[in-house]
Amino acid sequence: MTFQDLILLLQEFWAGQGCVLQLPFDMEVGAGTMAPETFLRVLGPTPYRVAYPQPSRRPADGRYGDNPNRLYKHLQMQVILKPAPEDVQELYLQSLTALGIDLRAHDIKFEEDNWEAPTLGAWGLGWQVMLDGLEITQFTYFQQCGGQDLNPIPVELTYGLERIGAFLQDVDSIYDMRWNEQYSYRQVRYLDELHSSVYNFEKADVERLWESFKGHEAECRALLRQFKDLPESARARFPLLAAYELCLRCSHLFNLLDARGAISVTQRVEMIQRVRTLAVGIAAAWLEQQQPEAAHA
Amino acid sequence: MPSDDALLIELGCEELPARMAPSLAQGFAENLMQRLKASGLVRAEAQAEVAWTPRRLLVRVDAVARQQPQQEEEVVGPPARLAFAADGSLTPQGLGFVAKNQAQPADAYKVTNAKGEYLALRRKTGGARAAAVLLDLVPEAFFALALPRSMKWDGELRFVRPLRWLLGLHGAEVVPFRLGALTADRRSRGHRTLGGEFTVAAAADFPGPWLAHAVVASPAARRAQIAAAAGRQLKQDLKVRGDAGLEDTLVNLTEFPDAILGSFDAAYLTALPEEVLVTVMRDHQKYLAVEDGEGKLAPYFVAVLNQKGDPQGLIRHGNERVLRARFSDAQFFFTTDRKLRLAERLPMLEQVTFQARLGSYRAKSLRMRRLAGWLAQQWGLGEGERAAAEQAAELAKCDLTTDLVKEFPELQGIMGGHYARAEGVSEAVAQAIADQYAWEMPPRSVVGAAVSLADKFDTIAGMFAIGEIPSGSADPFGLRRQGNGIVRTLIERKLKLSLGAALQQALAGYAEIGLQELPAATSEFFKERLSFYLRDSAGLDAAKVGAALASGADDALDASHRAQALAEAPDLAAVAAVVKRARSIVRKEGGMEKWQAVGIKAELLRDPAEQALRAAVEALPAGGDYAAELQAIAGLAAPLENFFSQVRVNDEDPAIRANRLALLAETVARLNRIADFAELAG
Repeated sequence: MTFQDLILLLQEFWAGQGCVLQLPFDMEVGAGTMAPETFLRVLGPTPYRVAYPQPSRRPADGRYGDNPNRLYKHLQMQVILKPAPEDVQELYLQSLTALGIDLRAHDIKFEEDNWEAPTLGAWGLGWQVMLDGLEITQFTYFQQCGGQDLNPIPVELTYGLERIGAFLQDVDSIYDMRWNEQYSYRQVRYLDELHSSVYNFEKADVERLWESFKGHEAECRALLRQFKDLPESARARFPLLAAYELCLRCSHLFNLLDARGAISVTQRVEMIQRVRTLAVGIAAAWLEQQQPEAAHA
Repeated sequence: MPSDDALLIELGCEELPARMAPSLAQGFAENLMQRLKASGLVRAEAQAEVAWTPRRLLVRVDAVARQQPQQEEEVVGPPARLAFAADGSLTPQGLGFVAKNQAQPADAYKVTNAKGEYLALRRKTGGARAAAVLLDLVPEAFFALALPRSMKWDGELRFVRPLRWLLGLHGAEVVPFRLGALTADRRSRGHRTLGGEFTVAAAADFPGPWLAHAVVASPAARRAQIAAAAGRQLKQDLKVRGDAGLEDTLVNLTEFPDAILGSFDAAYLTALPEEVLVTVMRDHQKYLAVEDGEGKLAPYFVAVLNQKGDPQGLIRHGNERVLRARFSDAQFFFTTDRKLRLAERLPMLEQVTFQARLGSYRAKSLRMRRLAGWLAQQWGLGEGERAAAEQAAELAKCDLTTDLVKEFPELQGIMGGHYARAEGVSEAVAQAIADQYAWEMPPRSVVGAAVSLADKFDTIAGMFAIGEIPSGSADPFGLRRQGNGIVRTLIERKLKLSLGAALQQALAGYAEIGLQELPAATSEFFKERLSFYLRDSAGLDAAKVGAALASGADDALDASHRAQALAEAPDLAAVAAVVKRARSIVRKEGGMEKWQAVGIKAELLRDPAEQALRAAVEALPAGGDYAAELQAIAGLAAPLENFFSQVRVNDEDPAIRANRLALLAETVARLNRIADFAELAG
């Protein structure tokens, strides 16, 4: 099974469960959770099901394409089921069967792992799913997002696609994985890993990154202030999604500055707090905009 | 239908964290038993059988009655003069009480007790059917659980992980108790891949149906199954390297455990330090390490599965693949890390936070260097050892910037030692760096002790100075553990040190950032750590430890000697009682300080008893042999008692009175040098 087949099979399975097959979010994010299809959809009472592959950038994890297991940008399959179905674990296991994994011939364990994203004010309880000693999925019941208690509780399944692909093809290096019959993962992604690592660790202009961060942050805060000052009748069309994109830019810039070694000891905690403030502000505003009666309850 | 029968309750859920399953199961069982006993449905000495797997908590109780015993009790109401009219009928107040207790006026009578005459009723309690009582009792037992961290998944019900099914059987009948949206019935679920759903006819059938569906509910049975499975895999003289904590985890990660033996490239045994191999296997992969007949690490591992068998070898293959990747990473890190000498990493420590207000690890390393040098001086170490302590202290944290320690933080210190040795630094320095954390055992050398203590004193002084003081439940920086480490090292390495002086030296290192004072809580903190060590590790009696520390807790080693001597001393009860009496007299008359200041005049000692007392006190040995000193102190009981029976402290002559008070004060003070005897008297 090629890497491509893996993506298609998972999409097919979750489409069969009523998920909207969305496209990867087209901005830099560190995880599928940060895309609006997760971060904003889990807020409020409206049920939803969505699945999308999401390239996830973590500058500090870059290895210039030299490490067979570690990537700057890895691909997640992000699935959100809201509310969490009572047989969600069984569904998840069925998705593995759909990939041709014989559950009786392998060892599957659900090991405690509670995921949290301080920059998003989000956390949940759940597991890392282990397949023959390899972690392949983060399985989380979100309790809070953007500092808001969630109701109903969504479940997030985040599959690590390169790991699963390399497991299914039984290769020791991700780069040796067949992306499709003709091309390997190396042919598709090696240059991206190499160039990105050089940029992130050596070439990124720290001063300009700071200026960008401050600029996006200021604009996001200004938008949130404007929203607050609007009468309720005028709020419906306010571009909170655009404000959220500014927040995501700040988050990615923070990751770039961090990889560049530009964030000092005292600044780190403060920076995380600044991004969190934007995310929490947006989440609260979103609820007011989307569910005005509920927000005032 | 029999009058009693077994009760079986199962709470089925999604996988519980391994470390929480035992206490949740035992807690639930305790809550259930407590309520069953209180409701009269089981005997007072009844015991529950408790079992659990990651996906269920099970409690079975034998001989649970089908009906509560009927009981009668007397309920006392208002005084008879208010409840009864002159003609013996009930007043409104009396009638009100009768009504409130759902009784009839004819049930009312008078009862006389110590307080007088009162209206009383006979009330019947109990007699309820178990079927009804259990419907409330089981949920109550669940809600009484203290949950370490809980979640919601559907509605308002909270638990550690989502509950998915409930089973309740009393004999052959269902106990349909409810939790959230779930109602208990007689159905359960077996192992995810080896079993299926099943129904249970009667509570007494447990554990049969579970075993038939590949659920080994008993943790003890799983433990034995793991040991047997591992044993079957190991050939020749290979055996599993014991690891109790990991074994517990594995018991609580499986419903049906089996094991496979995997191997790794033997070249890693020489390419990487053993601690790295074992840490990767244990912490990251939960593998049991394997050793040969001589106890040497072998190139194998045992992985415990929640699956039966591995006929195609797929599971072994997958695990070997993962381990290969991890070892290959570790080797890569180990090689690239050594391209820099530890000292070359010092500037990088600027980027590693020690604490937001206390600065970087680079700053800490400089403070540690200074402090280690000071400690070496306090202990009279030679030039060579002092230099080694200073160098080791400064380099001790450099391994935090290595890729290997960033990947495996639990290896900090240990890797520092390996990297130091690899680059040719002296063995004394390498060993001191490796031993700095000293969580299990104190550092092997005095140089190591200087480094370890410099680190811990620096941390504690800084944290306390900025107000980060551990409270009953919160100690986020692990300061108690650090304090324990200091006490253990000083006592077990037999190092004399004033805790107060060391703290002041440590605080001085923070002058640059303006920290100038330590709160009073700091010395109290160390006294508690010392008390904890002496009671917990040395196993000494709490009262004796308390008495020894009341005299002084600044020099841990000395305090431990005094506490030990007290523990082994002959019975000091008699002298303690008299000393307590002496002290209270002195306190009543103005206090210890006042009378110690006065000083004894020999010529004013008129009575032979007071002369004898003074002589006995002066004759006490003071060379530091606490055993001998306590022997002699025991012998002071007689002269002290004689003093009190023959001498009147409050003599008319003020000078003699003053002299006698001074004698008592000096005696108490002299004894207080070793322990607070008054405290020993209780």
